[in-house]
Amino acid sequence: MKTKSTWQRFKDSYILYSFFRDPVAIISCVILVTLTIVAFTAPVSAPYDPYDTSSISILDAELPPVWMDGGDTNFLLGTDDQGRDLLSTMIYGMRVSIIIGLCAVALQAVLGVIIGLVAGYFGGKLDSFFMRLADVQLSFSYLMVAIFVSAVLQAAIGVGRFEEIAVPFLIVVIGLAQWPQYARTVRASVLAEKKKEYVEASRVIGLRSNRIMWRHILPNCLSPIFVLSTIQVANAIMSEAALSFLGLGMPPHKPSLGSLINIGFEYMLSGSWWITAFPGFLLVVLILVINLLGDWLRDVLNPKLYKG
Amino acid sequence: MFAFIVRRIAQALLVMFIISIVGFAIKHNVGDPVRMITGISTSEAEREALREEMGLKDPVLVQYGRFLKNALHGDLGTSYFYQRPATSVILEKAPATIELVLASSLIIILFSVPLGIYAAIYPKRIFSRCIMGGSIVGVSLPVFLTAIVLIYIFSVELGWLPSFGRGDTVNIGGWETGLLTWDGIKHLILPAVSLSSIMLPLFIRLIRSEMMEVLESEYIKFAWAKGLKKYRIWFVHAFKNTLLPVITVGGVQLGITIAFTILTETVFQWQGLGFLFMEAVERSDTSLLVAYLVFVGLVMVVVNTLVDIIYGWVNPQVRLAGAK
Amino acid sequence: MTKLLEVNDLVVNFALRFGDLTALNGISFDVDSGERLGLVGESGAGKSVAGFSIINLISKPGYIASGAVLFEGRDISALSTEQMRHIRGNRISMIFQDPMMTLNPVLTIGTQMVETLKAHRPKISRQEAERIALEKLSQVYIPSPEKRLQQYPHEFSGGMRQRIVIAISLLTDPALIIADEPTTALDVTIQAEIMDLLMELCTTQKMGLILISHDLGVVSQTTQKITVMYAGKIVESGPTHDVVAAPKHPYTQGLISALPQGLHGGKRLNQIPGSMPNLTSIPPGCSFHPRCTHAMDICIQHTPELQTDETGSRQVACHLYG
Repeated sequence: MKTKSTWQRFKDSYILYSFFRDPVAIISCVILVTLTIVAFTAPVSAPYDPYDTSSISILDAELPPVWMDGGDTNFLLGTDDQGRDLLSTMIYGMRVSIIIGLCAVALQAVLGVIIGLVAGYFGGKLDSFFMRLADVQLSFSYLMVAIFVSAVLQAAIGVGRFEEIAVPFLIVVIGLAQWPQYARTVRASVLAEKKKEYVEASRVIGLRSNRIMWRHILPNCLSPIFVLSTIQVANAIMSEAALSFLGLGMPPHKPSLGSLINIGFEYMLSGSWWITAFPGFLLVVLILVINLLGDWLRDVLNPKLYKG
Repeated sequence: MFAFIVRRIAQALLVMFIISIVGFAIKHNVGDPVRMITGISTSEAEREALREEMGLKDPVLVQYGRFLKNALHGDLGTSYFYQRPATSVILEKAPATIELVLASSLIIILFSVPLGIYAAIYPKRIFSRCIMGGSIVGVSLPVFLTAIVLIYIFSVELGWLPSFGRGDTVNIGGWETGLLTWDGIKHLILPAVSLSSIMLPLFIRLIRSEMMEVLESEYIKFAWAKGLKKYRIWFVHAFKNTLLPVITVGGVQLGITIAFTILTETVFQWQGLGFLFMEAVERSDTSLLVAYLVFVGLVMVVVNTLVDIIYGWVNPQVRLAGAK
Repeated sequence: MTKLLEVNDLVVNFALRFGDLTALNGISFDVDSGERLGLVGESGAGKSVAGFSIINLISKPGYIASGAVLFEGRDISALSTEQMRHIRGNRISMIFQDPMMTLNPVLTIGTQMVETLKAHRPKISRQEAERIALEKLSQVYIPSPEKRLQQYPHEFSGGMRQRIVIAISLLTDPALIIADEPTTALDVTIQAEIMDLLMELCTTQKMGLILISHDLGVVSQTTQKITVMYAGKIVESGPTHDVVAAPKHPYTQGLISALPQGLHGGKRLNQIPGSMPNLTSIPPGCSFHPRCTHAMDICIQHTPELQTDETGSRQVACHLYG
């Protein structure tokens, strides 16, 4: 009997089969990939560089999108209050949001998975301690903590310095706030797996705990981690947008989608609705496709639903 | 059960203790209170003297002790901006936020329970699919965006509802309420809907998925085998079991709701605690920030502890465990 | 004279994404009042599905594709849910396998008993219902029954819980009890008690009993008739004593010889090689032929029919017997 390579197994797997049958999953994936590519090729895909102050002129401020009166073909979606091209700023902003989202989730995942594995496998005092910590941390909403820490930090070191460290700071804050979710999920999986016979068998053979944990137990916990990760990326992007909206995230001269919405809000009532509308729409689409994919992933990886 | 309650209260106290330390650390290290209350012309010597007088030169532990003692008496420092004790500022603004949270909770409960149960019992029907589709979109809409869109539609375009402030309020024994005037209620609608916009879909999905799992369980099958009527099976057997995890999650969501009040109140200029918080941030009013932290921390700890105790009481396996 | 229950040529399918799967392929059996029938087979043979299909409670996406279930002469397989409701728990009661999962953890025993009575006799008063509940609890030998009504399922041991479940099934004095693996989740010593209890109740109340189990040992000691199932079909049936003493079908022979009792110490257990086929890949002809030591060419080509022998009471589906 020929053993298939991992790639081949994936190709033949139920996941891929189910994927091509589900129009929602396909569309979401396509949109997500497109947005990600556009975001990460920002210098090429965006018509202008919004961070280059020399290329902006305040005289161009608040121009409407190209299909309305007063629109300029140079600025397809109009300009913001500083005269920056909205489309370019949105693309750059999306890039920042995605980077922060991915890195924050990576941090959460690594931290949470390690703690979850250790706590679940070794149990005892270590387990109790971490789970109490997780309980307490979970009872305080991470958004609240993030807002508060940002506010205090900004008060402590001043707005200028805060802007310099905004990106790494946001990654750390969102990352640290959400590890308990991962830890809990992984720990639950570990506890379930620990009872299974192959763990006993490994121990009897004499494998070291490390090896058992990483090579044997972890792969079996992967599917809940994947599902969790997609949701968390969407959450992270939303949190970053919320923080930026409040002025506690990305600064106005390097705006993310949230900051743009904030800026636009003031101008909405006076008529320049596009400054809020387009970034808002883009933000929702981004979060929505990630959530849809996460939902689909959860359905597909859930063995209980094989009943059709 | 008793042991359970005691343990939960002990944990709550521990958390409050940690919060107090964090609060004090912030107060101690961020901002200079002397600089806030003196002018530019005050000399350095005078400032030093002032520091001495205010007790800022005392050892850290003593200062912490003082902070703690004051806090337990309800004194959380003075707001620089308002020139009043922080506690009184907070208590003045609290009713606005409490009414907002209550209104949105009401919306959430009224809608999520029937919709969630329906979607669990008849998952394949079109209406259920719409509910689930709508809920994914709802969960993906950041709360501030929903608020802005609502304002745009209902205030700017249609002009039906006001877009900022609380409207006319009536003061009943220190509680500034907007519920007694029609104008006040009109002002409450959009903010309450915005605030519930993320929690509502979450609860619908939660109730639906818990209920669906419960409906697959052996005891529900046995209930069918016993020949019970379907409404009894759904609402007595199934729903009671669904409630348990929903209560737990509900408690946790309260913390998130508080964060969302900050966002909502900012958009609607709703003069509540969230709005107060953002003002304090802008003005670097550290006292007020710390007071907010302690107050909010206290509220969350109390609510979470209560939720845990309620869960323990409702779940017979926990309630009777201590009695053995 | 009509039998209490007659299942005729029942076919049960499962509607899956990839097409319909046949779980029961035309099975027939019958039970009379006071009779005890055993339905035996390995896991996956379809015995539980058979039990559930009698009261039309097959888990979705299962459904009855064809055949009839005649209860007291009336076909109940096509009744509406509301009509079926009057039969379930009332005229036909069912006992499940794991009593911890069967009882609702958040409701008291009293509530779960009283509601059953109220569901079928709406006019009954609470006191009367409780009186009946106490009477049934005593019938299953549960000590101090009055206290029990206020208690929750998790406060009882496994054996007690199963007695309570049996008590619940007796509340309406049903004509037929379907017991799906009633003792599998219990300790061996308790198993015997529960089975004795069931047998006693059936004899005194003149109830029919269908005992579904993979445990041939238990079935052989407690039933009068036995039906052996394999991969959704019946392969042999007849009076329990006769079938166990002289099994005809190779599968039945294998099951009986696999029982540890009667072996001397040190001897190896007899096993039937291979395992029951998955419902998606049932072998052609006789579904047992890959594992059968007596397999002949004809077994691969033609599916054997269930044939009755000269005595009229034994049936077997095997090419060895013509």
